[in-house]
Amino acid sequence: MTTAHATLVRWLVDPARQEELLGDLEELAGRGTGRFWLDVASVCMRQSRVVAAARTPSRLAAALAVVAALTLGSTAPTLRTVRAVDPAGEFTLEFAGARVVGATLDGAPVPPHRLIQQPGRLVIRGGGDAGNDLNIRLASNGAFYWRARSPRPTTRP
Amino acid sequence: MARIGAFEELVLLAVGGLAGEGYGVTIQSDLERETGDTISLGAVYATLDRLERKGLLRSRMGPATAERGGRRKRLYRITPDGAAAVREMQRIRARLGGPSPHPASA
Repeated sequence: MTTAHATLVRWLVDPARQEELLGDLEELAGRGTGRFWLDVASVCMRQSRVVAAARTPSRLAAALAVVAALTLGSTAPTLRTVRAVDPAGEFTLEFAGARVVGATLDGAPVPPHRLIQQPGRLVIRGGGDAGNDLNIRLASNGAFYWRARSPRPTTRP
Repeated sequence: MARIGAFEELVLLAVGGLAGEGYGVTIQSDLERETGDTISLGAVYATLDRLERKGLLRSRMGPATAERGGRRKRLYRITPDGAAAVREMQRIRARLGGPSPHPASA
């Protein structure tokens, strides 16, 4: 279960029911994404403190619309930036879900045309040793692996 | 005696079959396995809550477990009234059932 799922449940669900519902969803997190979202959304809608607080049909309809919008909106992938270091220096990768949407090398943004993404693999053109490509393997669990680059020769003034 | 709907009856049967150790995930899993339908966790909990309000189920918090991130389960047990409601539904069905329905011949 991601932080987004847990935050959504904590925000929407009756606090008295959160422990067992979050625990159940934790057990169900290995299901397919669509199926898991069905369970998260159904719990948010049917155990919602927002819906419970609405006593008239119009307020209930408004509350359901808010819950639905929040549930659908939270399916947007969250951005995370991962910093990596090897002997040549530092680089970062910015992920939207499992997809890399940005990168930096030594603090400088890498232009999009130098980022080549394929299933399970990312290439940063010219990001490796001696101007070669930096090849990065992307694992399904969000980790990534690369061959450490060599230290750069120090330049003399 | 409290009247129950078809889905409520299925939930009561699933809870009864799990002998006091049933909770959201296992009840949902048993219902899906036996009906072949996709049943959302929210629908299961909404029905469990309604049956508990009617006095047909009782719940208690179980121990915390690691695979649930240290969170406890809410375990459900069928009450005598719940068992009676299921038996009543089965009696009604048996009285109404008789031979399998078939279309009238032309």
